[in-house]
Amino acid sequence: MTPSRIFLDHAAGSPTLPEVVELMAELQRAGIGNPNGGHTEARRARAVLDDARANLAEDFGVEPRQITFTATASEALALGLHSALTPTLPLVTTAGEHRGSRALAAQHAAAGGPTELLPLDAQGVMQVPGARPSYPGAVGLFALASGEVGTIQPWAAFTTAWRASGGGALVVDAVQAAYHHELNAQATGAAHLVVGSAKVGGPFGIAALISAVDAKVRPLVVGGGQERGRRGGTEAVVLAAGFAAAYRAHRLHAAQTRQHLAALTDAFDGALGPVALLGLVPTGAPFTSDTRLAGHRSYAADWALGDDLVAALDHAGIAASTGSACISGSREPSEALHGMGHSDGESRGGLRLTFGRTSTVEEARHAATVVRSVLERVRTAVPA
Amino acid sequence: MTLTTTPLGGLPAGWQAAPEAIAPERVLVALSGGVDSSVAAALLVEAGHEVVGVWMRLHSAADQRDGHRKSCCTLDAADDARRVADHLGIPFHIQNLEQEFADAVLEPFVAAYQSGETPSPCVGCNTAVKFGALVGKGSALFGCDAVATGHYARRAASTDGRSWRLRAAVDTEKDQTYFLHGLDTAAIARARFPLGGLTKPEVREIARSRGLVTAEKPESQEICFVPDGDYRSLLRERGAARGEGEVVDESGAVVGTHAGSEGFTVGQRRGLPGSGVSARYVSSVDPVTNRITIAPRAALDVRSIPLVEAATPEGLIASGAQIQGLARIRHRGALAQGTVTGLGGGAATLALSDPLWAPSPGQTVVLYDGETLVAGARIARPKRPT
Repeated sequence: MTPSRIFLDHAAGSPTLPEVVELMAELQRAGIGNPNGGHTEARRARAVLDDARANLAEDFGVEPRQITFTATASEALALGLHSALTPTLPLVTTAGEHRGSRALAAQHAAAGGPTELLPLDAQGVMQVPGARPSYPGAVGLFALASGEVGTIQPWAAFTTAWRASGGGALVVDAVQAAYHHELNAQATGAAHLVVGSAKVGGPFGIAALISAVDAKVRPLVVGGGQERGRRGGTEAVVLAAGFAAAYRAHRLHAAQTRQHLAALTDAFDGALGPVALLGLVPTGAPFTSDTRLAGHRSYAADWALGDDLVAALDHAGIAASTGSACISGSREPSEALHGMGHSDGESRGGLRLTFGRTSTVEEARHAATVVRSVLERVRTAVPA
Repeated sequence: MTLTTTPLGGLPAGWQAAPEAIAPERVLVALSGGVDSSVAAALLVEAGHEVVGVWMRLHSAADQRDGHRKSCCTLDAADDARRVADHLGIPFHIQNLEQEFADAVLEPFVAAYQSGETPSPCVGCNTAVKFGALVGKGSALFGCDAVATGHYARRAASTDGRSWRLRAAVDTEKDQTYFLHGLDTAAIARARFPLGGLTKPEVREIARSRGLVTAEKPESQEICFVPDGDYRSLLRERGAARGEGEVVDESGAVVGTHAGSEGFTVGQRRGLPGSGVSARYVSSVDPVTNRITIAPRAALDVRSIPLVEAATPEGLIASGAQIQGLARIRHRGALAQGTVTGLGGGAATLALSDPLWAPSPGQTVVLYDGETLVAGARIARPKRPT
């Protein structure tokens, strides 16, 4: 039987893993609440939070005290940048970053802070120009991998070039990459690393900032000393537990998941056929390369708005995305696609399909036939 | 003869009422976030149609300004539209038609003021955007054969089923055929007006009984892309404001000054000298000299009006062709018996048996045969005396 809905927007957040839902429901039923207090109930909650933090720390190769829980990855990025950056320090980033990061960079620039965009090549790989020390003391704000076009940055080579050019602290968005790699936070060389929960099958509403041992965290929200004074406000204990459980499950199955995702995209690509015939150009790293996020497909059409393609696919039962989070219905071209040299038209016509652990090969094949017929219909109907 | 404000009689011979969508079909509904389109969608859902809801993003004016809450084009309106769609259990999408709106509405709006006319932006929006580009998108993206709106209008089909006309709504106070006159027969065939047989109080009652969040929303009256009705500031932004100029009387004598002729429209009295029997009204706006001419009320009664883009739903009115009917030169305005005579290229003249007051260049003229709208045009600017 053909499924009535096919969810291909895992990069925006996968459905919460059933075992995580169970765990959180159990904790909620057990009355786990505020971990701050001198009573038994608070200590029970504190123990759950401590476990969550310890498990995540173990998974990322850091000490528990290096982890600050936040509500969202955007908040963690803001907290990391706020900690590393001063108004006068130069900030270096790229046009390919997530909207949250770009907004932070825009804020710095608007306040008069020196801000520079590293160029991207056609595949979305960021380029450190020359060997000259261009960025003495600059703070870098970069993603390990692009959610929009799926490109994984050659991080080791990049950080070598970054250091050689005098670059300073790195605030690193690992939200997409954490689903792909078994990340060791220390090895990334990041002063502050941001990871999210929903992309790995955990709940929405929780994320974490993982800071280097010597990196100070300056709070954005002050309060009752929670999170070692780095983030005020009562901790979301149950969500943190769900996050840690989801990430642990993800780590345990990471190798199989990658294999599964590769099988899904193989099936999808094969059933879809040559995308040029559909009027699409692939975006980001080559589909078959290992410099691309597993399970990630992205394209651009210069004959339609990405939002329109998403709407048409939705109507046909497929949850897709433009890949570039922006105001609903906005015609603004994607800065990332622009930055990679795509035309105005292509930059407005981004389409992203991302598979997840729960996707099936049957879904992938069926999705390909639906995508093909929808694109063919829309393309025929679009006035030349 | 007494002027009436209600199209008279029923359907002309050879025309039949077209009931709204009997057989189930896939219909795109343009949800504005107001009560009318909400009820239109609800009625279609209840009638068993497969309904796809869309909210059109037409411009960014509403994103950027406060105090523009009653318009159909704010993010608040989009939220209301989405909530109605959720309530009705229909899909909902935001459709970006900014480019189409800019081309068909915004630019002509500015150009009209620049040429001394008073534009009627809703006409262009209905013709080119709602029943133009949106129909194309609905078909291409969702396979919808028809587009429904919350307009108060009905449709009539020729008995052979080949031609379509607009038909005045049952609620004559709300009838919006005037603003829909640009729809050609193909567009009317694909249009659905579920509210055409209802009165506004009935529509509100349906909204209440269905628990629609928009049930008590106030009417939106202003031009959606002009926050607070201040179109002059939009013209200034576009460099289309003309600055101070002279006010002259019929003899050409200068009687005062004005702050910019783009702020005046034929028939306007506000901002002019005189009151009571000595009141004066704008009788013409000259964009070249930036001069407005004023005259006593009676001087603005006319029996002949020059037209452009004169068309029936079948196309432009040919040279020499004549169409008779009840003419109307403003929304809900008085009706007078008239004859449109084609002059070629869409130009035409409307000859009236009784005078109509203050036809304003750029505004719309429509002609009814009984309840059906048989022709429409734009009022042309009188030729400048040479």
